Amino acid sequence: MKAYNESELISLLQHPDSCRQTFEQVVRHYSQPLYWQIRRMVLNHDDTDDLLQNTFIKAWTGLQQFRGDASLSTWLYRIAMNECLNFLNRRREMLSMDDEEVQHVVMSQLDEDPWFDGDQAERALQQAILTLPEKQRMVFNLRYFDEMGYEEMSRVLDTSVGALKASYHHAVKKIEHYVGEITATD
Amino acid sequence: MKEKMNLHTSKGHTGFRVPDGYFESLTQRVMERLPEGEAPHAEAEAAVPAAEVITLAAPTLWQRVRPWLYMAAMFAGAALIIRVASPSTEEKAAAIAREEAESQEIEYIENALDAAMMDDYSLYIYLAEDTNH
Repeated sequence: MKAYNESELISLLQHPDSCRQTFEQVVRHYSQPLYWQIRRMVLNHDDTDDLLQNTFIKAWTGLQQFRGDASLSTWLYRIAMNECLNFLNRRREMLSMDDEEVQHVVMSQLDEDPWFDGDQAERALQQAILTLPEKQRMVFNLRYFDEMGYEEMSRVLDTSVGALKASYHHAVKKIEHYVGEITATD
Repeated sequence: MKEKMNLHTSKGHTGFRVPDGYFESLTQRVMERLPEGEAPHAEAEAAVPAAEVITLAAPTLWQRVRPWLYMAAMFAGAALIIRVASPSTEEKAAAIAREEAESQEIEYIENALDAAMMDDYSLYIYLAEDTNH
């Protein structure tokens, strides 16, 4: 299998003859990391599938805007995270509930989700992450699960490194406290 | 330095599962949803034809002079209209003279009335009798 070379891919994406074939490689390469990042935000598999496909379609139609000044992964992550935020905003408006009530509904749906078979600790972790504000949740997921560097995260989320570090630090404290409380009561 | 977390669970397993063969079929499903043809930027570039170079002929003397002539004619016409619409100098002088005469006459009458020591009512009666004759 040909090694992944991002600069070469960007160059091929700009050429009409090779664009489509190259884009297929991009989809194949980024499907899984983008899928899991979206899934951790929206929790449901079917919603994740929709958002992931929308991400790639938007990337395709937005190729003319992509000049290679950011890395391909940063660009794709940014599209995916915007899709997530828009989805979560629409869901909140549709439910017409406050954040706590939305969390309760989402956790109930997760318990009935056939594509979630987490144990008690994993469920507690998801519940704890769900209590975070959406952007802070993104920061936590990108750092904790994807081990993304703060510099790249800063480009993806358009937030300063210092703010991201502070946000992650607070997220960790909240989650540890929340998980600790849940496991203590059980 | 990465913060150590005690979450009673491993990072690698979150409890989320994916349907069998999902990722294998995903690429094809995405590519099938893309619009047919080339990427939007490639199509946009192809739609614009190569620029055509058109050589312009040198302007003639008439073409160069024409705009100035048009401007001169415009100002001449405007001057003519203004001249026709406004009254002549003699008429203006006559109008001024009439106004001065009227103001002098009124002043004369007022002085005469003062001298006659006639009040307004008496003056009204005098004028009424005068017009009846």
